[in-house]
Amino acid sequence: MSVFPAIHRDIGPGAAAEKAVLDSEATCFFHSDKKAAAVCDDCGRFLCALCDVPLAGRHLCPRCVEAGREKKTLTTLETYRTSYPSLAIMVSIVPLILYPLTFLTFITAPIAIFLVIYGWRKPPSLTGRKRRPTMIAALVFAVAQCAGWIAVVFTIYKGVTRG
Amino acid sequence: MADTPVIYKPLRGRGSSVIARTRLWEGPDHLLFVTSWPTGEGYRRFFFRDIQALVIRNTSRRMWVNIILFVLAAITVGPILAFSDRGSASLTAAGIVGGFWLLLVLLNSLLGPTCETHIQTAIQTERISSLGRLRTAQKVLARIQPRILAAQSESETATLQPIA
Repeated sequence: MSVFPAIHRDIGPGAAAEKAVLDSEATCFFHSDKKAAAVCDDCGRFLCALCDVPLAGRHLCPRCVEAGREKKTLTTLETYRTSYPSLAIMVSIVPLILYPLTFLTFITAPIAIFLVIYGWRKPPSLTGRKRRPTMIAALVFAVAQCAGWIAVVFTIYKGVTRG
Repeated sequence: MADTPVIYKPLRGRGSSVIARTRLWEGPDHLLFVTSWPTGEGYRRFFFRDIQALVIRNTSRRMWVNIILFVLAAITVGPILAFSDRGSASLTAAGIVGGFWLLLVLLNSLLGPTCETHIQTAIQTERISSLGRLRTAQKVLARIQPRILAAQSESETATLQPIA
């Protein structure tokens, strides 16, 4: 067991905003009676100590933090990322392996192609893995399955028209 | 305004279960614990300045895995020997099957003793399943310990600085 100095650090209460006394003092954008203690690095609003959110070495206001979380521009707040390469390869291969369900490739192959196209420009893993070869493999499998189905439909159609 | 992309370095050790794989990555000021599922990746961050303790506890998993492998060897090799004429073909088959299980036992033994690793912060204690072998956990600890101490001495200095 390795114990570090942080174990002795008291979390304590959050920062308390100081009240603005003079009229000439800069005040917080969100609390007009509180003294400004920082400037939002994103939108430039003045912030009191309560509204100042220190994040990855920057000072942000709660609105910019919320917007960054929603638009996924603040990677520091990301807790999940969809992996389109894994999804695409799974959708294109799993129905082939599960033999009696192979007929499902009629639906899953176009879905796999859609996932490859949709996920192609999406941000890769947070750790930097791009996994383009997986995407290409999924696309090749899915296109081959579509081609197979087209061949099957064409053969049946030919048989019906001859008959 | 987007964040500047963080560059992560992979740390030793990988964990895996039926559907998920885990790995610990080292960032500039934090550790990133990544759990990969077929559908996506989940992230948990442990900032160096917040880590209170790293707990490595010995487990008996290696012994139990070896016992299970021996049982599987007995279950698969036993019938071959019991219900065959014990000719060269059946002995070869028993040797191949038994050898496979023994190879797994050897591999499990060579990987070293098993352990459970936990990271403790003020608000959470998280099991790091990628650090399941004692040797790996100790190597990772030796690598990140100086960084944690440096980050915490920096933050102590920052809080103690007098206001001008």
